Amino acid sequence: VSVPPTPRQVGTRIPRVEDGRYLHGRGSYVGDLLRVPKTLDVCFVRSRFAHARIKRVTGPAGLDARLLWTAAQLGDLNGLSAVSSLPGYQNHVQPLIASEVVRYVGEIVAIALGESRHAAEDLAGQVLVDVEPLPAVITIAEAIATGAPLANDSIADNVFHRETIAAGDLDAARQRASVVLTERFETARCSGVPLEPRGALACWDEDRERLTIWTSTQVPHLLRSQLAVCLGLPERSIRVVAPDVGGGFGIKASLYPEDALISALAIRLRRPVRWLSDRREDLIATWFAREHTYEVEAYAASDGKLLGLRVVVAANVGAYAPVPWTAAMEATMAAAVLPGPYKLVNYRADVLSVCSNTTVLGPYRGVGRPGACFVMERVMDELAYGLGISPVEIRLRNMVRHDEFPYRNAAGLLYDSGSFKQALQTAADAIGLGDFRRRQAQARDQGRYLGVGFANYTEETAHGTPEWLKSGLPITLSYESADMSMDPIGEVTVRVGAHSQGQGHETTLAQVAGNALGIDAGKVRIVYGDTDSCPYGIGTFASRSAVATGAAINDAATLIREKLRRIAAEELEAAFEDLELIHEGFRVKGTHREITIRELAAIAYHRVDRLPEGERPGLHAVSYLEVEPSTGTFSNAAHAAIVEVDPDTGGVEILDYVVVEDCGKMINPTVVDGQIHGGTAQGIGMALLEEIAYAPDGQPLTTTLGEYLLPSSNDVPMIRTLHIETPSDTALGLKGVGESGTIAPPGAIGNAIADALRPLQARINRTPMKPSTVWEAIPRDVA
Amino acid sequence: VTEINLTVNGDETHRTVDDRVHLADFLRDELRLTGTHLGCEHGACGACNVLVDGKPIRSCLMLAAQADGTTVVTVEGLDEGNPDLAQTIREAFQTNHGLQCGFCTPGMLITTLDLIKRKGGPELDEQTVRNELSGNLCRCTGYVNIVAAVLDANRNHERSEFATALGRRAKRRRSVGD
Repeated sequence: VSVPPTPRQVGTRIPRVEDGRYLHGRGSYVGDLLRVPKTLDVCFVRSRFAHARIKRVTGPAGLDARLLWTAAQLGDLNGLSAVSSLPGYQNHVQPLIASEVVRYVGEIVAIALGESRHAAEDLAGQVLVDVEPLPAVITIAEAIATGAPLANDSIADNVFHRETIAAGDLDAARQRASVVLTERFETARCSGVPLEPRGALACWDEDRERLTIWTSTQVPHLLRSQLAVCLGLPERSIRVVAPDVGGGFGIKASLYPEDALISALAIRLRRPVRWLSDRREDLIATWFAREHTYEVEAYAASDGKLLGLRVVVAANVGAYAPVPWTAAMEATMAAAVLPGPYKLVNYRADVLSVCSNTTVLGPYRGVGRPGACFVMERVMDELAYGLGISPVEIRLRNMVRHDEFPYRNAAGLLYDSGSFKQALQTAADAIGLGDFRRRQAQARDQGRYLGVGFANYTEETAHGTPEWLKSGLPITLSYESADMSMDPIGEVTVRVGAHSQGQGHETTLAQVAGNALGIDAGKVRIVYGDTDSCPYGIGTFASRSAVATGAAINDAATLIREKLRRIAAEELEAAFEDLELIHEGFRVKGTHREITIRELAAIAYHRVDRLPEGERPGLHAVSYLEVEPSTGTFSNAAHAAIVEVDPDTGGVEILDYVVVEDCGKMINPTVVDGQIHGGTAQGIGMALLEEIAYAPDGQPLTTTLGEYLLPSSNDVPMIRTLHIETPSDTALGLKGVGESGTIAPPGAIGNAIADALRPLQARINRTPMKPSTVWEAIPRDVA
Repeated sequence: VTEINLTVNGDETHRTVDDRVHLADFLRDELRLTGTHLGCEHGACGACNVLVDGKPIRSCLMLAAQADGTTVVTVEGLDEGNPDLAQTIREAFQTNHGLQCGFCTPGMLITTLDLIKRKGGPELDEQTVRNELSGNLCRCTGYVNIVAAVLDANRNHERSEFATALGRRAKRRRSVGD
C-alpha cells in the first residue's frame, strides 16, 4: 500500500508558530533591544527647504563637538547609487548626508547625538541651518515644463529616464474604432506606513574590528553589501541583524542613508549609536510610492474588443533614485503591466521617470501595478459604458483564455498561466451581480446611489534573472538560499536568506521543509535575519519568498531526504528505488519493513560505521537556486466591490467586497487569506484615504496620522476571499501572493463609484477618491 | 523630577522620573516592559494602549508622573486579574490569524480585553467591535481576522463563564444536598 508523502504539510491551515511571542508582548523589534550602556541616541537634523544651498550649520555655543556631525566632519563616505543599464538612464549618487545642496524637505543635513533620545532631539532643535533657497520643482507638470529649474543638477531635463514601448499599429486601430476614450488619470503619492517605524542600533567591536547593526529591514544581506561600500569595510567585518520587523511592505526593502550614517558614527565614536524614527520623520523622510499621471487614449470595436491603447505614463520619483531599484522601476513597471489580463496587440507607452524636489519614491507593495490597474480598469468600464455593453461582458470578451497560455503581452511579459475569466465570473456570482442591478434600481428610486465595480489583474511574481536585467538593475535579485541541517534526532533547522515581516515564514517555510522530508512542520525551525548565521540571500519583497525560498528549501530537503533513503536502503537491505517515504520514515514498498527518520539521523551522526560505503557523516545541505521559470510566474485575481456614494458629501461606503484570487498551490490558506486581507486594506486606503500632500513650495502637509489617513476597522469591510488554485511550473506549483491584494481596490472601488454616479455623469479619474474629490467629480449643473 | 508610586502588572513600583517622560517610555525604558509599542507617538495608532485603573489609555500621551498612584496593566500583565479571559483572547487571535507582524498586537489585546469586559456577551455584534477597535490601527491584517478573533473570544469567554456558573450552581446544589 502506497502512502503519499504527508501531503498534509503543504496546503494545511496550521496555526502560526511565531504568534506566541507576539501575543505575550515578547516580540523583539529594534526599539525593544536592551539599550547597551554608553549608547548614544541620534536625531537627524533634516532640511526644511525643498531645494537650497547650505551656507552654514551651527550648533549651540560650547557644544561638545562629538555630539554634532555634518558631512565635513564625517569625511569620506560613499553615497548611495543604483547604476542602471537602461539606455539613456541618467545615473547619479545620493550623498548620505547633504554637504552643499539639499534637494527635498527631510534630506539629512546634520546628526545630533545625546545620552537619550530626548537629549538628541533637544540638541537637534538648537541647530541652525543657514541656507540660500533655490527654485524648486514639486509636481510632475512643473518638473517637465519647458525651462523648469533642475531639481537635481545631475539629472538633465528633470527626467531620470524615458523609454517607449511600442507594439502593433495604433493608427490602424484608431481607424477601426467604434469608440475612442481620451482621459487623464492620476494616483496620489502614498506611504507604506509599517506600524513599526524604521530604526537601527549600531555597535563597533574594536578588538575584532567588526560592526554589528540591528536594523528594521527586509533585506539584511543586501544591506550588508551596501554598508561595506558606504563605509569602505570588508563584508566579513559587518554583521546585519534584522530581528522582529513590524511590517515592511517594500518600504524597508530600500537601502537608506541612515543605517550607514549611524554605523559610521559608531565606528568614529567607539560607542553604540541608536536611531529610532518617529512617525513624523517617517511621513517626511521614508521613501514614498505611487505618484503617477497617465494620459490615455483607448480604442474599442463595437463588440467591445479592445483595439488599441496609447498612454503617457509619468512617475514623480523625487530627488534621487531608490537603491537598488533605480528611478525607472515605478513607471516602467506601470507601463509593462498596464494591459493586465486583456489581449491588447496595439499598444504604445511613453514612460517618464521624473526628478523633483520631493522625497524619494521607492517600492511599496504592488509597485507600479495599483496605478496601472486603476487606469486599465477605469478604461474598460468607460469603453463598456460608451458601447452599451456590461462591464463583465466587455472584460470576458477581451481576457486571455485558458488555452492561450503562455501568452506574451504587448510589453513583452510572458504570462505562464492564469484563470482570468473564471476568477471574474466567480467574483460576479459571489457579489450577486444579477440581484444587485435590481437593488441598485430600487435604491435610485429612493434617491440613493449604489454602484458595483470590478477590477482584474495579473501580477508577475518571483522575477527571474533576465527580468531583473531587463529592468536595468545593477544586481540580479533572482535567487534564494537555504542551509538545512537535520539533527541526530531527525529534526531540522533551516537558515534562510529571506526575512519575514509578518508573512509567517517561520510557519509556512517549515511546512515546505516538512513536506519534502515527510516530517511534521512542528519539527522544523526556520532561522532568518542574521547575516552571521544565515546564507547570503536577497530578502523578502516582490511576492517572491514562498516561490524562491520555498524552492531552495525543497531542494535542500530533497538532498537530505535522498541521503536518508540511501541509509535506509542499507539498513533495510532493500534496493534504493524500492523505498517509499512515509510519515517520519521509509518503508519497503508492499511490505511492513520500515525505519524511522529518527533512527536514520542517529546513524548519520552517532553510528557512522553503519553508513553505506562512501557516504559521509552528517545531514546537511545548502541550496542556492535561481527561480524558475525565469520569466516569472503570474498570479491573478478579480476584485468586486459594491459601494454607496452620497453625492451631497462625496462620501463613499463599501457595502461588500469580494476577492477571487489565484496564487497557484497554497502552502497555508489561512496565511494566504491574511495576505489578501491586508493587501486589500492597503489598496482600499490608496483608493479612498491615503495621500502624501505637498504645499506648492515642497513643504509636506501630511506629517501625522491625523493628516495621512490609514484605513481603520470602520473603513475595511469583511473582505470575502475565494481561491482558485492554478498550479505553476515552480517547485510545488506555487505563485507569489504578498503584493496581490493591494493591486485592484482602486480600480474596483473607482468603477463602483463611477457606476453609482452614472446618472450624475461623474468623472472618476484620480486617487484617493476622498469625499472632496468625489464631490468635485460630479458636475454641479447636473446635480 | 517627580517621585511616583504605582502598581504595574501587580508589582508595587517606586521611581523618580523626569517630568517630561511619557508613561510609554517609562514602561519600556525604565521597567523594560517592551511589549507596549510606539507606532506614532501622537495618539493615533493605539499600539501603546495600556490599562490605567482599568481603562485603556494611550501611554504615549500620558506622562509617567500622571500615573502616580494608579494601577497599570500592560500586555505582559494581561493575565493579572483576568487569566481566563486573557488566555481566551490570545487563543482567538492565534486561531483566527488576527496578527501578522505583531507590532499592533499588544494594543489590540488591551483594547479587546477592555471591550469584552465592558460589552461582552451575546449582544456584542460586529459593528460594535469595529467601532471599539477603530482607535487601534493595524497595517497588516485589514482587521478582517482581528474582528473575527474578538467576536470569537467573546463567544468562547461567554461559554466558559456559563460553564463556570453552571459548575458553581452544581456545587451549591451538592452542598445543599449534603
